[in-house]
Amino acid sequence: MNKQCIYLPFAVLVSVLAACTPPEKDIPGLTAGVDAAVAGHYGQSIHHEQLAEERLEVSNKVLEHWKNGHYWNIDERQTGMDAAKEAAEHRLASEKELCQWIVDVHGQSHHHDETAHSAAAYFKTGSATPYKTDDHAISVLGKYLGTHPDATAEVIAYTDTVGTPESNQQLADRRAAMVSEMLNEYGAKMEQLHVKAMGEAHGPDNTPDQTHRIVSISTAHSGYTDCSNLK
Amino acid sequence: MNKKHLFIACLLSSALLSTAPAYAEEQDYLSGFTSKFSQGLFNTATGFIEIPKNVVNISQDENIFVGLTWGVVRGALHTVGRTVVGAAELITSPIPTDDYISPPYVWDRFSEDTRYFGLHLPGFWTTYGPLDDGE
Repeated sequence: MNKQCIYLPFAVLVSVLAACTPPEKDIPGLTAGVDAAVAGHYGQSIHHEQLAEERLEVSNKVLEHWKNGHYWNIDERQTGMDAAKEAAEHRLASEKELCQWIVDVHGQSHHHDETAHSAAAYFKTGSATPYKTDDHAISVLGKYLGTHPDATAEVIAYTDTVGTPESNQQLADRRAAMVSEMLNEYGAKMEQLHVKAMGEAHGPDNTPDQTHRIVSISTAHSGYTDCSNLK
Repeated sequence: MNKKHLFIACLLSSALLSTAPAYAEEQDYLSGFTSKFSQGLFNTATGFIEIPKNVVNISQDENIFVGLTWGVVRGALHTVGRTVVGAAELITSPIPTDDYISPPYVWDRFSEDTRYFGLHLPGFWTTYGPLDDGE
């Protein structure tokens, strides 16, 4: 037999077999790629969002059937209700993951345990009416307390040592009340204010001192956390 | 412009303005008529597809034996129903009415059991058939 008659069909057979070999699949590689796409809080947030949308689509489809009177004979109630519930669960999970991501990337920007402290009003000796006020600080704090009902602030009033300690105590009370009222006008509630009338400040007796005739206000932001209502 | 020309201009404008709603109504009527006529025609001609429709859907919902017995009986009843309703649609097609039958064509929403004037036959299936998942 001619050698060509053997080699030629053999070569054809080999080529055919090679052509029939399925292309190589990289399942672990692709799995790793998919896992990487949904890794981390942000990836999980997107993943849950996607699942929520899918489930929402199912429940909306049932709703549409009901509204149009289509597929009246198909028992879709449980499917629709379950899908709506699962959509809500995935949406919440997505929101939580997104909040976790926000905390991760933004958390360090918060001024933890930092106290905002400023002298809000200055008084003349024996007077409970301020001759100078820091309106900006008072308005900022008042509005902050108004929009954050859980936050609190301290209002601390002092006097100098001119006059009797008793009268100075009453004077400090009136000064504190004055500033509290101003904060209240900007939105703070009285129960958010811890008012401390300190009376006479330390120092030599019967000595006028402007640095002591003040009311200071302060608030701490330590209680603030991102997405606190989701945890 | 003399008075005669003014009068003709006014007449033409009002005629043009009044044709718009009349044209729309005519279109609505024509569309309703053709839809009902087409439904009547196809329902009369294809009513027998109710038999395989019931067999397939009931077999999927229950089993092949129920499908081949109850499905055939039900399909035959629906065949008569759809064909008769189709004939009625054909005859009354010039008169605008709501649809007599739902789904309007036998191949529409294949998993949905047929109803006539909102009424249905007992013994219907409750899950999607193999040919339709509600999309």
